[in-house]
Amino acid sequence: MLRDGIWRWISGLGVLALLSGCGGSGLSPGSSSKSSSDFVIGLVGPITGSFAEVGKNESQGAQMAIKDINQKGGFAGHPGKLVFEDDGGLPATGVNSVARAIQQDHANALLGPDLSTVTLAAIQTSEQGAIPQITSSISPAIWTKGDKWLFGGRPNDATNVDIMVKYGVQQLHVTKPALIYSNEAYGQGSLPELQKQLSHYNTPPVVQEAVQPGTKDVTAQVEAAKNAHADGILWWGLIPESAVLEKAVHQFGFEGPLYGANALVNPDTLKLAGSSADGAIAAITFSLADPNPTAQAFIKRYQSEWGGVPDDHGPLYYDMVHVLATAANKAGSIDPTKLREALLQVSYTGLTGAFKYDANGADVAGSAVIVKIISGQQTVLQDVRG
Amino acid sequence: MGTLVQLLVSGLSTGGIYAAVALGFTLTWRAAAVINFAQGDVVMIGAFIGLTLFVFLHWPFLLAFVGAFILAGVLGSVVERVMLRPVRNAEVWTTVVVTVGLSILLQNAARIIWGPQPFRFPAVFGEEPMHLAGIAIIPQSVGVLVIAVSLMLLQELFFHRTMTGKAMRAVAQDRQTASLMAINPDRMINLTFAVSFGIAAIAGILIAPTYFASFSMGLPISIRAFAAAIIGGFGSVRGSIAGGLFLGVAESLSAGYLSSTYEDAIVFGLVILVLLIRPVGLFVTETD
Repeated sequence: MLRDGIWRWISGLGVLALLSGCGGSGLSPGSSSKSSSDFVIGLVGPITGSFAEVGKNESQGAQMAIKDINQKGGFAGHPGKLVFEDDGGLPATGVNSVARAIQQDHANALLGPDLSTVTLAAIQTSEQGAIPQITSSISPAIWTKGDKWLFGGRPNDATNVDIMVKYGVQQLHVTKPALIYSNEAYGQGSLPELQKQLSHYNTPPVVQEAVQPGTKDVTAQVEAAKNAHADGILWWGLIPESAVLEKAVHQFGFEGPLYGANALVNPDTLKLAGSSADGAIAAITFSLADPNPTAQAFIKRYQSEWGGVPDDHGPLYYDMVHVLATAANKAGSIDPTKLREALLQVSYTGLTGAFKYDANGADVAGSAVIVKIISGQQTVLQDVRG
Repeated sequence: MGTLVQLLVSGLSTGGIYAAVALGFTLTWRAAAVINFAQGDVVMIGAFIGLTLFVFLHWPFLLAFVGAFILAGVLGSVVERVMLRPVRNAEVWTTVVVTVGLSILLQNAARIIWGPQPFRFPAVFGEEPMHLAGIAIIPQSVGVLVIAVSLMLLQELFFHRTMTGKAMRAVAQDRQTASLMAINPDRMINLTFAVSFGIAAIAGILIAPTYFASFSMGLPISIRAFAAAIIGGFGSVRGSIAGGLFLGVAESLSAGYLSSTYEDAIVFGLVILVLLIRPVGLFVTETD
């Protein structure tokens, strides 16, 4: 009887542990209370799941910027405050996270999401919030939705596609590319532009293959490229699948270059793929190998504050917060409508290049450096910053 | 021809992973009529225990392997005693909810202990391909396949040749009659969970180099392994292995010869077809 009672208590403790584990987003840089004078930035990003490192970088970059801006008087006189909402890299979770940032955290502006698939899923919710939002998502499909509150943290992927297809043809001399893309919103969203650009340069793909999200075996896709005698693989997809592809290209001895989406050279991809990532080429907004003294100073400061180097999301979110501050100070107000109008006029150059918007809120400045992985490190091949 | 062989080799390697996890489903079903929806998460815990012992604490691989088996086995024993035994005679849905809750508990525990980011796990058998007649063979994949098949053989021997295994089968077949034969059903079921969790931990260590160790790695593996167990014949050890290999090869060939875009739709369409034609599974015999 006594023993049964003990087991029942232990079971109860187990249930409590379960419940405690379910709560919270795991990262909340700001305090839970909001002063009426605060400028609250709701950052929606992944702090759990396969893209957790991306969210960590975003949060850390944004916190550094808010600290700097608050020291200089804040956002039109209002102290900035960051509230992080975890989207887990999942569309359904992202919709709730955006809603929470708007309704519960009373955000004055949104940053993120990063994954195009999440941004697209949450676009209706964020638009209804009627506050400015700067996303780092880059799928061209996002800019066809007509959300007047949405701004780009970097140029949409059409720019990257153009840069990489051109680089493939002119510098890597790829004339018979195999086109492989991840079968989700990001990869699918860029597919028409990839096909258009390949056709424009008169190098249509000799084979076109999809990779399912979460897959660990891409033998069929690499074999298809080899059988079609492709002289390069142009890849468009996310971090986990990029690592899997890099390993397969190495293991199955594909001879040509692997180039394309920025995930190929992301530090998180390099951790997962190890030495198999060597040789991968992509255009990114910020490189650790950038010799620019401002960039190197940022990397040094980031390392001292957080104990590790940033991927390109750290400096990007640092810049995105500064873009918000520039707009707020230009408008002299944090009123959403005035902030939006000021964002349309903003001109800012930061760590990741220039920010300038068209009438739809798309970043039209264009900024990238093309890097290659050599011995596990990014090496800058070409600077194409606008 | 070379492509076909390459796809078969890759498919069998992936199938070996599914088979190793499907074995865990089979064990708990046979012994206690429980479908453990946390099986994939136990695999994940095994991967993390292995990572901690082998990578962080620098234990020799074999010792880490055995350590993960024992620690996960203890976890299985505790889970059975604390979470499942109290609901053994309840409706089947109660057990389902308990194992789903266990899945959430394990994921959150792993996230708190090891963090949210995925870890690269060194491939102990090596990832540099061996080339045989133009076919690239990854030693790690071969190792997974060999160990999965070895686990199947060991399980068959254990269940059919040892007194404990026979007692566990007796409990699975008829708990009351088994208890009349001086078999303690509680102890046998507890032992089964310990073994099932231990095997899942081994599977976790083996597949972590391919899947990367992360707190969310369990669910996708669970779904495939569950499908493999159903295709093969739920509750059959041989069926689980054959179903796993069948699913892995079907995925690989459909991506290679039909469409990589619709790979998932084709494979799961095939699963539905198998269930319609032969609901008991493709690889079960009368004796199963």
